[in-house]
Amino acid sequence: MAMISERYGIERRDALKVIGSAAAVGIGGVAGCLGGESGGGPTTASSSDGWPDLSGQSVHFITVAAEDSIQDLWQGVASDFENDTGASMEIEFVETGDLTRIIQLLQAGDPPEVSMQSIGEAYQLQNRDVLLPVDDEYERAVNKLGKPTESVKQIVTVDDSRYMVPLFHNLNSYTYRSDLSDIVPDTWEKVRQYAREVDDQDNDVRGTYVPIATGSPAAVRMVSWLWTNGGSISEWEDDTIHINFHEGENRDRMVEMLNFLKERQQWSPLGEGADWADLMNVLQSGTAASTWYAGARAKNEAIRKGRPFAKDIDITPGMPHNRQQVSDGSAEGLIAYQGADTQAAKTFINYVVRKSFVVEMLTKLSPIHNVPSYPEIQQGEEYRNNIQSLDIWEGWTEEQFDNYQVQTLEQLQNKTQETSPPNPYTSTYYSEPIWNLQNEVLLQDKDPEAIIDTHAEALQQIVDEAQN
Amino acid sequence: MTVELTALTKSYDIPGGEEIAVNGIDLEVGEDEFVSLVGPSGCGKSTTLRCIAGLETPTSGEIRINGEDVTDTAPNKRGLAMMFQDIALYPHMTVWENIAYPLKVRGVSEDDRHEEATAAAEVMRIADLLDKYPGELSGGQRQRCALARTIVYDPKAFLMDEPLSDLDAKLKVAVRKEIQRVHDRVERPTIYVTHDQAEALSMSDRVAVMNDGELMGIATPDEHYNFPANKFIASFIGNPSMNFVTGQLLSSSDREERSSSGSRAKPGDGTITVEFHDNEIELGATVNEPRSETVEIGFRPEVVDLHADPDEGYFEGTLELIERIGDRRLATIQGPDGEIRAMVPDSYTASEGTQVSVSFDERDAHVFDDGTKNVVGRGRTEGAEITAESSS
Amino acid sequence: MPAKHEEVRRRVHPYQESLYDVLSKRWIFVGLTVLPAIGLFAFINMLPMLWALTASFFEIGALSPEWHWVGLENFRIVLDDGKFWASLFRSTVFAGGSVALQVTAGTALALLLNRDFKFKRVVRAIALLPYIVPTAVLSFIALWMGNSRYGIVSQILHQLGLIEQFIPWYGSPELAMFAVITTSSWKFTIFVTIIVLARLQSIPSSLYEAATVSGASAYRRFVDITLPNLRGVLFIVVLLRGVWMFNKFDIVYILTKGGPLNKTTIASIYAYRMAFDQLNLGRAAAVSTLLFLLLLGAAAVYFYYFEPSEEVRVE
Repeated sequence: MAMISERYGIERRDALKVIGSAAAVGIGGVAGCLGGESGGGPTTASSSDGWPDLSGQSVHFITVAAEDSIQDLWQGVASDFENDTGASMEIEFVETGDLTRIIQLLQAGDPPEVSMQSIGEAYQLQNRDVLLPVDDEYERAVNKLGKPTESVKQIVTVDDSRYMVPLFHNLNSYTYRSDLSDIVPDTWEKVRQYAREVDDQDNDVRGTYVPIATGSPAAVRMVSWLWTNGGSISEWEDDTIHINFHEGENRDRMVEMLNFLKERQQWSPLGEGADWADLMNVLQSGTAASTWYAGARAKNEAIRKGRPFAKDIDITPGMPHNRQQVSDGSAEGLIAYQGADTQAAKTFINYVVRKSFVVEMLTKLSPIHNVPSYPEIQQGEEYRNNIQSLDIWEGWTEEQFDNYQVQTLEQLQNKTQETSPPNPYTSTYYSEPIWNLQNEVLLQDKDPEAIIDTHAEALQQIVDEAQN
Repeated sequence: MTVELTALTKSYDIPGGEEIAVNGIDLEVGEDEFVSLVGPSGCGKSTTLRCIAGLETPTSGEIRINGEDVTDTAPNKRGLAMMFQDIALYPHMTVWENIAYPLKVRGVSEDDRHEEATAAAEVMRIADLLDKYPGELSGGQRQRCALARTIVYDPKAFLMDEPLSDLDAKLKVAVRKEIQRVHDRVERPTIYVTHDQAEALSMSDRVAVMNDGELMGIATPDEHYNFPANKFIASFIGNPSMNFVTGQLLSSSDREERSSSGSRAKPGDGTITVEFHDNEIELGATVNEPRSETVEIGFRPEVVDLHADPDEGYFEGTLELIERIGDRRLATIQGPDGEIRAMVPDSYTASEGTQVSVSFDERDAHVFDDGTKNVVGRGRTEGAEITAESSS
Repeated sequence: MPAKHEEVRRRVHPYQESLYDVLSKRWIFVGLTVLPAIGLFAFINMLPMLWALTASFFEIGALSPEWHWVGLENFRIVLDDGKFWASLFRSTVFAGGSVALQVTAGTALALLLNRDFKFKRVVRAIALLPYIVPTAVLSFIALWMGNSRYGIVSQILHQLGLIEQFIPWYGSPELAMFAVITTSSWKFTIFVTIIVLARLQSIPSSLYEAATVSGASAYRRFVDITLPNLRGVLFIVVLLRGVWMFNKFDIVYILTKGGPLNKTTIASIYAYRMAFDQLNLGRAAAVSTLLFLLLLGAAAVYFYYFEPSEEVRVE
């Protein structure tokens, strides 16, 4: 596995930990029961800043961080945390956003205290009873950062308990060059018109881009477009998840969506072997004029590359719709694990979820593309000033910024939220059948009607296994 | 069948110029003649042989085999047989496959190949080893196998590149005989490269002595031993090697009176008078005219006599060492011009450290010009010649 | 020798002396030199193997450390799964194709490098480069080179007039397997070259000269001398590369993620998905165990059939 993990100094799991792990779990449990407003933690002597004394405890934190600036940011907050609480920190940066590393640690019986994870993964973990409720920490976050929007409020709440403190989101939307056409591709029909018009122009730029991908781009794309067509993938049947994209009206929606993708191929450059990087680069490289993307990276990339048309790249608010105005979006946040140093974990979450840190993080971690979960932050002067001082701001207008960022919080719905209560199995089953259903249509020109049942059955089998 | 070399030259490009390995060699090896190329290492003898084989491409000059110019012929088209210093048996083939390999590349059927290989192995007395691998053979058996490989077909000539140098003394003598037996049997020109002058002298019809890429002389072993054409040959041929003392040229016959017999000097030829350590001797003049005043007088250890009486010899020296060589003893004397070696009878009794007086038989002395190093005079020794065999 | 021993003794400090005594004891010395290697091997190789072997008899949800004994159930399900057999077949194609390409190209390159020519050092450096570059880096470079929109490979072929449209090397169901085989060979061919070249250089030149003078053409010399001398190393190379390529995961996963349409879903990717997408560690362990047994069996047959002791005959 191509995962590079870097471990940074700061002794963890020393002899003390081994001897006293049972005790530590006990203390954590007590802290949890007490409602642990750990900020003014009553359990132990507090340091001058009001943080509890966590000497002898440790926090193992895992997050994706490819860039040095993000790693430095985390290192900085970690060392402040150590100074203020006496806990020892171990930060581990992983390269891929999946659960590989978490699984290793869970199997070793040594879960991390805290990790940054996506909503789908959080549901998956919660469903296996691995996570620690973080209701108090969430409340604290709301007090400090302001009320979240309705859709964000729902995130990772199971049986009235909350398992994630959300930090930021991206929204599936449609990025396009407004310098090549006056059409705003905010509906399926206009997406067609735009693609056709631009493709007919006398230049090398193709009208749109239809990627053919293996893995997450294919799954995310499927959900985004299917929802805007009023379709769905799954539903609860009693207490099990049932795949329903091949049944009744849903079947027509799915077939129509697949045919729509296929139709657009005529205006697209070759989409084979596509990955997120291809989607991100297809506009800035001048290959295509419009593309679906899960966020704002396609525009940012054109700005970074200094493309003259970068400023003219617009992002539709949410997905171009056909039957329904809805957009799948992501949510990333902090989660804590059972069986770890729970008091230290909660204190760390509290420590990190502060306005100044969140703002700084979102100015460094894919700025603009990542939208803060809390409107007050998003509208606040601090965040805006920070964003506007960035180099990439040159390619943005206030209007474009709001169009993307404000709409993200308003339209956001996550793939887990297709069902109510949310579906905890999405990360597991957005797999082979989902991407191969699209790819057989796009690569082999197969009739969606003819293949839809096979893939639905295959997917149902995977879901059944996952629920077992 | 013959092998002829004309003005054969081979030079290599080296950083900052070129190195001449073989410099204009002319050589003719007659039908069923056994010729050795001998000289110190780096003298170009192996390069010459490899040029004949085609493994090296000459810089200039011509190679003829049977009168046909093969200078530009590919090595595998020359129809020669060659033996190598490291024997070069194919380790992954059995003895019979090794022997029959030249037939295999000539497209001979397997049955015939086996038959021929068996015949060749019988000649070399290794017929019982046919199915073994080279790794299972002794050194002598490997040599025989390699020899069998060269006689399994009918090569135009045999080339041998120090094939015996890795063998111990006893085996050397045995395999040497085998090689000569093969040579007598196949009657093909054989060119044999060795650094061992004794080996060359004992096996060859003629010996070509090389030094520094130059051919110093080619002659029969006896001729080289008795009438060395120059100082290099004189010192290289014969063991223990020839003694030299420095002298002055006093007089020499005129050109027209000098020898009519090349590098020999017959009675009736002109004379040359030289002086050394207050002795004056007169010898026959050879065809070469002296060019410088200084000469070197050479005489073999076999013709040296040692005397206790200082007046009996030409000069005096200290007896430093006496060692046994076969049925005689080799005495090493520290003389005024350096070391003098003398073969003395077993009965010689003088002890190390004593002063002795040195004399030698003038009839067996040679005079070399200090400039050209060519022989300019020697004893008139027609008839009573020392034979080369006694030296080996 | 004893005198030297004494001298050493006299020179050293008493503590050093007793250390010297201890180290001189044969078994202590053997232990100190060999044990670390054995320990490391046990720790790095044996333990994970035993772990996987054990895990294959349990049902293990990836997200919880609880194990439930299920006996051979995992094996039954895996062996019953058509996808497993399909992935096994793809692994065989991938390993077979890669080994064939690597051994052929690697030997050819070794033969080339065994000759003297002008830019030998440059060629050698270029050939070695992919091997020392990390797999991930090489894979991303390959992805750029084979990209369907701007890949340099297609660009060159296009400019040469050999193709009309750009070819999506890693995205086309027809070409993906060929493309990953070629890419992996690009990286690993030099391994074959290094080993074969070492062997080539140890063949005495006199063997070739003897054959040449005997009348053998360049082709015959290759067939009769070079190839037989290479048999031993080729035996090892085919075995090692075969095993390694059969188990390959990273390069294929980065290049295609097993796609498109599962055309490159080799057994290791099947196992990976089982473990980390479907979170079924026990079943993934069963896949690994099956692959291990399969390779063990294949290697045994290989050894029995080719009798390396007969082939590796070096004087």
